[in-house]
Amino acid sequence: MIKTLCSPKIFFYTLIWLMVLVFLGTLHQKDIGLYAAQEKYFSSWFLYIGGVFPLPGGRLTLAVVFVNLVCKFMFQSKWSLKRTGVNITHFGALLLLAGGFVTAKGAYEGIMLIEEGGESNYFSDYHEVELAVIDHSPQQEDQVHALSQSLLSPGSVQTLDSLGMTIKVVEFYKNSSKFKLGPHQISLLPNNYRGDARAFSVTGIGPEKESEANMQGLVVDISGGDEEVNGRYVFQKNLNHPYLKGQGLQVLEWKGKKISLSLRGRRYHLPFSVALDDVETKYYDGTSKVLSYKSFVNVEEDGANRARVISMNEPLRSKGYTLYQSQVLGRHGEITGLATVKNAGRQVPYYSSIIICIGLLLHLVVMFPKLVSTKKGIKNV
Amino acid sequence: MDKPINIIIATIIVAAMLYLAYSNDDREDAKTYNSPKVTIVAEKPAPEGSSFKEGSGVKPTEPTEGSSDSYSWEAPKHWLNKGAGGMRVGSYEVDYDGAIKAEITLITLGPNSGSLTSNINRWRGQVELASLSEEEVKNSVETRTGKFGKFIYVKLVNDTHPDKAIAAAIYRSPDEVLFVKMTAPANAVNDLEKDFIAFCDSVATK
Repeated sequence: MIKTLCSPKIFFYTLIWLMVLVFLGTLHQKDIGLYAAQEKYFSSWFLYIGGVFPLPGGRLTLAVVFVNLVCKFMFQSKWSLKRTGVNITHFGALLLLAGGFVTAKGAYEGIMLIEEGGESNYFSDYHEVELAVIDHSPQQEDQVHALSQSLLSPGSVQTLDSLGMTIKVVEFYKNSSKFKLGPHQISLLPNNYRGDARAFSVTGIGPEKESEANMQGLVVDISGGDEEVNGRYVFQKNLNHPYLKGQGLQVLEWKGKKISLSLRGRRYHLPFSVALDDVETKYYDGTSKVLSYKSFVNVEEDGANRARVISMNEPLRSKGYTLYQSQVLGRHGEITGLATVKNAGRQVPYYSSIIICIGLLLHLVVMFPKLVSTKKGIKNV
Repeated sequence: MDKPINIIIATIIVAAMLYLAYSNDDREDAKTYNSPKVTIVAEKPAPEGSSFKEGSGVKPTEPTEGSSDSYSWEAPKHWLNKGAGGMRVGSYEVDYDGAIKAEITLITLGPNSGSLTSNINRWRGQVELASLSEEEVKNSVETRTGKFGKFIYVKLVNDTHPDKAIAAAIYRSPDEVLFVKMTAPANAVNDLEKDFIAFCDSVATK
C-alpha cells in the first residue's frame, strides 16, 4: 500500500493531468470568467463533464500529489550527500503545496470603501453575501446579527434568540433580477407578503461572467413577531457603496424595537480601523488615463494612530491583513477602494521557492563533478 | 535513522498546514456585533406605474413632449429639459435625491457610427465592465418595440463601481443612428429605469 502511494508514476501522471486542467481552465475562462473557471477547474474536487461524468478537479489532483510526495518523503527518501539537494527540493515542494492548501482554505478577500473624512473597520466580500438583521433600539450603537451565505440555503431555519425571530429561507439565488410588480400582480399577492415583497419580485437568473457583478436574491419567511410583521420578505443584494449608506434597508417594528434587514456583501471586521484623510489621483499628461492612485490614511490600532500612505505598489500590511490600493470612485474621486486580503499562507510560496532553489543548487554542486566527468567520458568516446 | 527524521519533518509540515489553515479562519457563519448607528433611508415601495421613490426627490408627474428635427418623444414632467446643443438633439437632468443627478442625452450620428458591439463595449468600458464578444453582446441586449419600431435597449451596472451606471437605447435608421443614454449612479439608474424605458418607448420619427 505504502509502496503504491510512494510511486513516482502517481506524480508523473497527476502532473500531466494538472497541465490539462490548466489548459482547459485557461480556455474556458474566456467564456465563463476568471472566478467561475477557478472554481470549476482548480478549487473543485471533481470536474463534471457534461454535468454528469466526474473527472478529478484541481483540488483532488493536488491532494493526490501532496499525499504522494509526503509518502515518498517519509518512507523512501534517504539522507546522503548525493540526496541532500533532492530532499531539500522535495521539502520545498511539500511546503509549497501546504501553503496552497492554507491559502485555499483560510484566505479571504474583499473591498473596503472609504469616503474622504470617513473611516472603516471592515471589508465586504466580492462574492458572498450575508443577511443582516440590525437592531436600532440600543442608544449608543446598533446591534447587528449577520447570517452568512452558507446559512441561507433553501429550507434552512435560523433563530435569533435575542430578538425572538425565526427566519426560514424559501429561496436563495446566486444571481437575480428584481422586477416591480404591476397593480394586477399586487392584487393577487397573499396577505402575508411584507416590505419589498409587496412591490417587487426577485427571480433567479444565470450567473454573470464577472462573479462580483452577481446580484444575489433571497426570499425568506419571518416569524416570531406580531401578526403585521410576520410573513414573507424578498431581498436583492444591496450595493456596498458609501453613497448608499443606510439605503435599501427594509425597516420594521419588531416587538417595540425598530429593526432593519438587508442582504449585503458579507462583512469581515478588522482588528484595526482605517480613516481616509485624502485620495490622490494622477493622470498621464493630457489624458484621462490614470497614472497612479494614493490614499493618505490614518490607521488606529491598539489605541495608537499612525499615518500611512497606500499606493499601487505600496500596500498596508497589519495583523495578517494586506490592503492594496485598488480603485478610486466617486464623481470627484473622493472614495478610495482598498482590496483587502487575509491570507495566513501568504509568505509560504516565498520561503518554499527559496528552499527549492537552495535544494536545486546544492544538487547541482554535488553532482557537478559527475557531470563534468561524464562529459569528459563522452568526449573521450 | 533517515525515516524517523523524514517522518518528523513531514508530520511538522502537515500539522503546521492544518494549524495555519484552520486556526486563522476567524470567519463565523452567524455573528452578532455592535456597529455605529446608521441613518435609515428605507426603500419604500413606489407608487404604481412610476419609478418614483420615496425620499428620492423624484416626483411622479405627467409626461411632456419634446422633439428635434427628426424625432419626437415624451419625457416625464419632472425631468429638467436642458435642451439641444452640439451633437445632442436633446438632453435632460433628473434630480434623484438632491445630491445625485441623472443625465439623459439624445445624440444622433451617421449610419457608420460603429457596430452594436463596439458601442456596447465602449459603454461597458465607461462603467469598467469587461468587453464582450459580438455573440455575447447580442445576448446581453434587449430588443424592444416602441413608437419608433424596434430598437436596442441595454442596462450596464457594475456592482464594484456603482457610482456610474448606464441605461441606453439605440435606434438605427438608414440615414442615422440615435443614441439615448442615461448616466447616473447604479441606484439612480435602477430606480429611474421604468421612466427611462417609457421615455425610450415614446421616441418616434417625425
